[in-house]
Amino acid sequence: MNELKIIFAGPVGSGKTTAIETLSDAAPVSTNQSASDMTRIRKSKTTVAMDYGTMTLDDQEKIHLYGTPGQERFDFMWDILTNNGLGLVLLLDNTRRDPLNDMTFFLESFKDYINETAVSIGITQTKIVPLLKMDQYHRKLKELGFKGPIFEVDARSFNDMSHLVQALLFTIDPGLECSA
Amino acid sequence: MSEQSLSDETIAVSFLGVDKRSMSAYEFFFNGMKQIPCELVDDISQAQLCLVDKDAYNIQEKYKKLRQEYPDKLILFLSLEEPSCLDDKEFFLQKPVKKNALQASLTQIYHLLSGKTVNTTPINSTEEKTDTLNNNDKFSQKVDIHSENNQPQIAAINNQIKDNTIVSIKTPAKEKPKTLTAKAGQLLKVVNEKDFVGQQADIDINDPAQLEKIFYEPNKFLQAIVEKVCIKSRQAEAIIQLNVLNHVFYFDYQEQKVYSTVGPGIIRPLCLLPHDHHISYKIKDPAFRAQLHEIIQANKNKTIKKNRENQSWNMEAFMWLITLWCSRGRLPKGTSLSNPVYLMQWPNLTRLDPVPHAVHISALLYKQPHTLLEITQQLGIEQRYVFAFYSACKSVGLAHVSRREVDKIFVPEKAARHKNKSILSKLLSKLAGFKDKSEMNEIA
Repeated sequence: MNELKIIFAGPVGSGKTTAIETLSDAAPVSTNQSASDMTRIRKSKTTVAMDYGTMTLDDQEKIHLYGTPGQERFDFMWDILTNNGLGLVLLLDNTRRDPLNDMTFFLESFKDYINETAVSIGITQTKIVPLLKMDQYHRKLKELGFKGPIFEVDARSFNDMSHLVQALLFTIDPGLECSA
Repeated sequence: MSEQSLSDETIAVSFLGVDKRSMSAYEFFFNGMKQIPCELVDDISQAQLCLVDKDAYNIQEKYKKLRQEYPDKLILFLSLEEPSCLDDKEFFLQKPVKKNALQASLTQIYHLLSGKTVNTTPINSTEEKTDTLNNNDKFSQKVDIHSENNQPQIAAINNQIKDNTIVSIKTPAKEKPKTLTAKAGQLLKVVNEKDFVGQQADIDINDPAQLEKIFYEPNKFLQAIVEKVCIKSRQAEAIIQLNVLNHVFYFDYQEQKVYSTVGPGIIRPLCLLPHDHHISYKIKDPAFRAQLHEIIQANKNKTIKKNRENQSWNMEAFMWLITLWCSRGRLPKGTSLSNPVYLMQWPNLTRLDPVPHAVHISALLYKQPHTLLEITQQLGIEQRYVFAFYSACKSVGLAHVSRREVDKIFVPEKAARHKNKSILSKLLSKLAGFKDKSEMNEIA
């Protein structure tokens, strides 16, 4: 059985949890629900305080959607999550102090993974404070030596998230076709 | 050691200074690591191993307390910087924590606890890994970490972790992907598709009579006027009022917005008519900005009662929309069919009116230049989709015909197929055909 993952990364508040909720078939395991209760992490793995969802393709196959934990810069240990990953969906919050710096940080942190797979970037919160124009993100992406789609997204919108994941899939394999 | 043993088969692990989300990630990792079973415990007295984030706030004090209470506990430090000294119960793992290194550490600690010999196979992630652990192995022989006999073993473990060595683990063989069965769909249904891409059937480009049908002249349509006014607004850094017949548009470069007193129901027919002398525009005073907001609000209040058509757009989205309505699946006259075209960057497809197959075309074209006909052939889609997409991208400055000779000489590479293409195709179908949550893309 193939169990592939799509990794959702980005700074706190960029919409990873919401994006996974939007795409997931099953009720996703929400970080926010269990993070407040440390004592619930028992030896027999009772609560998983992490953004996680699934998209079921048929009886046999599922795509796992993982939101990266470790909101603090020094807690990054994302490498352990990217095994068997299809690609990275990077969400950036346009209202943060320096979204381009966030972009640099995450792209550099996932550099090896992106080089093996692909990245698709969603910019959230663009309606609240349009700090940066899309061109600035594109310029930064090129400057950092990466290629990929960048879309404005609302993590609550299936249409937006679907576009972002489709773009990731076609970047991975432009010859892709829908199955019957 | 008996007080630390939760099970004879697992390493009982607890955390100190590790945030909850990271703990969960570790738990996921442990769950997937069948060869070295680890179990999370919240009671530190039950743990055999404690993972300590050495960079956490106020960790020194907490760690000191932990060592006072549990002096025999094995510790795995996670830190950006290597500690200056480690005692015989302390191990170290450099951040960012890599899965191979973590696996190596746990494997070595497992071996230490179970009394096995330390394996010194170097890590090589690209090579197939073989299982050196017997699944029936138990922690029947616990290692006394205080024993002097075991000190070289502990030192060896720390050295191996430092040198990034690992006991190799066999990875299961991948399932063979199933064959594809169907052609690509349109990927996100588009309501009133013909308004955007027309209905023109594919033509034979060798037939000059048919060739005429795929071109249009933007200069004769509203597209050229909108393009000029956008440029004028940028140059003047001012709001420009454009009158088309009896309808008014305001172009605000500063806000990157276009406002109109009418909606798509009126604007689209304007795109079908050739324009010349019915057009006038004027540059407004800076003071007009305040007035503009009042006009927009008043118009909004008025029109909301009648219908809910959109009457303001991002400037780029407006240009894109007008171009689609004017081109209707055709190309600007003079566009070369034999020269490759290139895409400078992905269009912001989530905020632009939809063109069927746009995501697919973007991915192919962004990867490398192709002629427009190569794209239709390679993707197996009708010409009008590619032509509409190119016309719209060109009007917003994202696509151009390549003038480089090198692009003509090199035949575009056929993209390598992904090893899991069957699953990706299923996922694509799911995303494209999702009905319950998705909203259909409607015209503006």
